[in-house]
Amino acid sequence: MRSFLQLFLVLVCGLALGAWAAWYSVQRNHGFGALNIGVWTAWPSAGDVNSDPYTRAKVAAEGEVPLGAAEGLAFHATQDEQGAPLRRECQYDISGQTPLARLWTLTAHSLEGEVLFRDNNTAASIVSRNLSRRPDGSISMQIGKTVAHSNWINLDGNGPYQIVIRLYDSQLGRASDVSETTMPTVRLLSC
Amino acid sequence: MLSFKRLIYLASVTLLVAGIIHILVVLLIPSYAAKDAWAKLGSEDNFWKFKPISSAGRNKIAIPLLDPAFDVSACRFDLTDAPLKVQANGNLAFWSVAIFDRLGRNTYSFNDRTAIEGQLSLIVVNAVQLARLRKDQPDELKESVIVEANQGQGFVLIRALRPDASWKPITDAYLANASCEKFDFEAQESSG
Repeated sequence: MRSFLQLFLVLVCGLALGAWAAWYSVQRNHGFGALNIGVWTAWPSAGDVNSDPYTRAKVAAEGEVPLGAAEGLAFHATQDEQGAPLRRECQYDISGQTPLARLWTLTAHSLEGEVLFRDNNTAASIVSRNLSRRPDGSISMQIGKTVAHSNWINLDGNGPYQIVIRLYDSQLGRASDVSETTMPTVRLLSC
Repeated sequence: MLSFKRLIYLASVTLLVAGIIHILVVLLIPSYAAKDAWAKLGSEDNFWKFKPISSAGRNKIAIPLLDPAFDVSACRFDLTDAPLKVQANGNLAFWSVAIFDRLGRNTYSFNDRTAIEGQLSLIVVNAVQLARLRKDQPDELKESVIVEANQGQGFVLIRALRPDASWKPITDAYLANASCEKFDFEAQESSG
């Protein structure tokens, strides 16, 4: 009787632990197949038929349609350079060089992946060709509720969010070496 | 009372069970996810025709992480009915096409620069249909990208860049005129 009870306990605990571990590893920012550059993380295999089981499970569970190899690559940032979570009530400076791509976009998304909007119809998003650049070709922009000089993404509200840079028509992370690649830095200006 | 040895034994068995369950759950999620991309797209009338899944940056269907700078249309197909022919004409700042299988895996993608003549013309076939196509390729397919898909069901996505609001009529027209049809071998053979 006692060994039967023990067996039952072992099975229940094993089931719970296994299910929890599966749920946890399929979370948005799991490390399997991840490509990290600074605060940015991409999953190059997400748009690939040979992706790892964790990435596949994540894509299926969230019902995503990831960018394919010839389309582009999405980099996600949920933290600033200091490691603090990005918050909608704060102002951030995003500057530096972006990897080689035909074009890229920068968008604020909720952690669940919804696009964040301002005034119900303007998405908190910017397309690279509409940006003004520094003489060396690098970019400098600000995201937050305080009006900034140029390249400003208007965002208000509260709570954590993520910034996604999508590089289109870029071979980064698939065919090319990423060790020399730089992504912009994300610095907290004020809260 | 439990002996120490017995406790260690039970703990290891628990971990073993947990490990097996973990692997099983992760591997089975793609087959059993109730809200995967296919299921979400199924709420629209987009079988063998393109329907927008986002417009003006707003998701019509709750597919996460879509780029608001793009207008996206999707079309579901089933190769057991017929091969798929996708066509769209016009010039955009950027477009890309992706083919997904039933499980939401991206099996093939290309963009306006990697397309033949920069135009969107695509045929998706299964192995049997491909063999037939190779035997007697219709002239009209000379400039099409031909892709073999191993699964019957799937969906095609066209992403059209809208660099700013003034492009909206252009991307809308491009997507509205995009066709997602059954490709008819018989009609091709009788006309040729």
